[in-house]
Amino acid sequence: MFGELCVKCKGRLWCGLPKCPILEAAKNYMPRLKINPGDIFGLSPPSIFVGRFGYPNVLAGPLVSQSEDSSVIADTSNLYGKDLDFVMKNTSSLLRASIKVNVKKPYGKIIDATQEISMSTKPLDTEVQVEKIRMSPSLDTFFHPTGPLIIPRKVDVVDNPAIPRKVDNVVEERLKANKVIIELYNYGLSVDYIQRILSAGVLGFDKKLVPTRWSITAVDDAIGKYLLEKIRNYESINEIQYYSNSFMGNEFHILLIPGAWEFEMLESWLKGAIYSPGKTIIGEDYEPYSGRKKYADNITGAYYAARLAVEEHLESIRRQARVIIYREITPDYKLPLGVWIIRETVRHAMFGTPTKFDSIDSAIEYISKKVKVEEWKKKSKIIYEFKHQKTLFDFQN
Amino acid sequence: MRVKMDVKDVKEITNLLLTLVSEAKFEFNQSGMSVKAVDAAHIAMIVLDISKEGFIEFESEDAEIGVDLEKIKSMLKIAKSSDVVEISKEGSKLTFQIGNLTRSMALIDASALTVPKVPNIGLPAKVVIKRDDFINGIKAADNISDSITLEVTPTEFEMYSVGDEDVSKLTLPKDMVKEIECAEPVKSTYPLDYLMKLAKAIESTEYVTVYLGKDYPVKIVFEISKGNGKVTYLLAPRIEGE
Repeated sequence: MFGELCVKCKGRLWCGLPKCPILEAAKNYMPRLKINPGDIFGLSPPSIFVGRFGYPNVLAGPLVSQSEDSSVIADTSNLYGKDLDFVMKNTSSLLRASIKVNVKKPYGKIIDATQEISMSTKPLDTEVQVEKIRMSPSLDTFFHPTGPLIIPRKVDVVDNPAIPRKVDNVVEERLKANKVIIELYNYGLSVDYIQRILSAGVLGFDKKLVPTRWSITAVDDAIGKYLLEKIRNYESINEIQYYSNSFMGNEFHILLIPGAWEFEMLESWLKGAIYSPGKTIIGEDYEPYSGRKKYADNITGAYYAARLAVEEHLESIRRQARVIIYREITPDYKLPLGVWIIRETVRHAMFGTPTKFDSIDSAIEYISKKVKVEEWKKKSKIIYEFKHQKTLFDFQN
Repeated sequence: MRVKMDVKDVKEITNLLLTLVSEAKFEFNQSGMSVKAVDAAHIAMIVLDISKEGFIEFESEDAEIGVDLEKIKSMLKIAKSSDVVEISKEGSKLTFQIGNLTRSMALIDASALTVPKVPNIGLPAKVVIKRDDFINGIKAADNISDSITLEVTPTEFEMYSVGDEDVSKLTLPKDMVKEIECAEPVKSTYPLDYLMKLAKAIESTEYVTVYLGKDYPVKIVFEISKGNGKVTYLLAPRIEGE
C-alpha cells in the first residue's frame, strides 16, 4: 500500500483510510506531554491553527503553551538549525485549543481571541478554560507539529497584543487579500506572521478563516508571484552556480543556470523516509518563464516554499536564472515538520557561497557525486531542454 | 500618430505577438509599422512588417510605442471582427476607438523594451504550402510528443511527430504544394508548444512559406493585413540524442 500515492498525498487521506497510517506511526516519535489538570494559564507564542477536516466547518483556535517560558518559538525561522528534540519539545508542547466553526462565520469570543492573538508580534498570556482534552498530538506536512487538542469553554487573552500599526490599517481597509500579503511582506513582516493572520480571517473582502495548510502555500505563492514580476525584468546570472544545504534529513542541491526564469523542483523520497517506507520515489514539478497556473501536485507545498526562498535570493542580487532544486529526503526525516523546513533550508543554502561551473555537464557530474539517486538528472526537464533545445543565440554570427 | 485598421487584423497581430511576449515595441514611420519580438528563452523570434496600405487610414511620423498586449487583447474582446478600430497616440496615452466606444491605456516606456537583433540565417530548402495543411500538420502532433520534425526532399514535404507509442505524420507530395525548392533532403526538429501557439494565431494568410535546413532554425513566412504585411517567424531547433 505504501507507494507513490503516499508521497503525493502527504497525509491527505487519498487512500480512503480514516487516518493516515504513516502519520499515526510517526506520532510515536513525539514526546508524550503531561497535562496538568484544570485550566491552562500559559503563553501563546503567538500562534493559531485552523484545521481543514470537515471544511467549511473546521476546528480553529489558538495554540497555547502550558509553560510560561517565553522562549517557545513563535516564528519557524527560529527553529532552523535546532535539533529534532528541540523542535519536537517546543512545537508539541503547544496545546491546540480549538472550537468547531464555519469558516465563513468567524464570530464569537474564542474566535475574537484567536484573531487578536494572530495579529500580535509578541507572546500573549492566555487563559484557557478546559472543557475536554484529546490526548493525541497532531502532525501536518505543512505546519509544524502541535500538541494535544483541547476543546475550550473559554479563551481569554489577559495581555495587550502588540499589533503593528500597518496591520491595523490594512485590516480596516478591506483590500484584496493578495494585495495585503504583498504590502505586509514589503513592510518586513515574516511569512509566518502573514500566514497566521491570513488563516485567522482578518484579511481580504470576505474575512473568512483559511485552513493553516492552505494559508501557508497561499502566502508562499502570492509573495513568489509578486517577486517573479520583478525578477523577470533583471539580467540573467552569467555563470552556472551550485548551492547546497542539509537539515534534518533534507538534502538540497540547487543549480542556477544562466537564462530566463524557469523553475523546477525534484524530490527523491529515499527508501525508509517518512512517506516512502518501501522504496525510493522521485517526484517533479516545473514552471516555464510565464509561471504556473495549476497547483504543483507532485511536490505540493514544498514547491512554493522552496521557490520563494530562491526568489528572495534572486531579488536580492537583482538577477534571473533557470533554477533546479533537487531535494533528497533521507530516513533521518522521521516525521513531517512542516514546509518551513524547506523554506528555511533553501534560504540558508542561498546565503552560502556558490560553487561555479563552466558547463552543465561538469555541474551535473559534481552533484552526482553528492547525491544518492542518480535518476534525478534524467527526470529534470530543464536539464533535458538545456541539452537539446538550441536558442537563436546559437545561430547568431 | 493616428491610424485605422480592421479589428480582425489588429487581433491577428496581437495574437501573433502574444505567442512569444506580453509586451512589445511598435515602430512607426511614414511608410508603415514594424515590430520585432523574441521570447525570454530566445528560442523564437517574430518580425512583423506592415506597409501603410495595410491600414484603412495611416498618419504617422517616426514613433516608438511600447504596449501591453494583454490589455489590447482584452479590449478587442468586446469588438466584432467586422469593426474598425482607430488607434491614436497622445502624450503617453494610447487611445482605441471602436464605434462609440473609446478606451485609453498607459504606454509602456519603449526604451525599456529591447528590440532583438534578427539573425541572418541562410536556409537551403523552401516549400510553400497551404495554411490549413501547415496548421493540421502541427495540430495532429498534439499529445504525441513535445517535438515535431519538418522534412523537405526534392519530391515532398513532411511534418511528423514520434511519441513513445503514437506517431503523427502529414505528407505533402510535390503536386500538393504550391512551390518546392530543394536540392537535397533536409530536416530539423522543433519544440511543438511554440508551433502550436503559432498555429492558433495564424488566421488570414492563404499560404505559408517554410525555409528549412539541417538541424537549423526554421523560418516561416506568411502574409497579414490582406497581403500588405509580412510576418517572419524564426524558431530554434532541438537536437536529438543523449
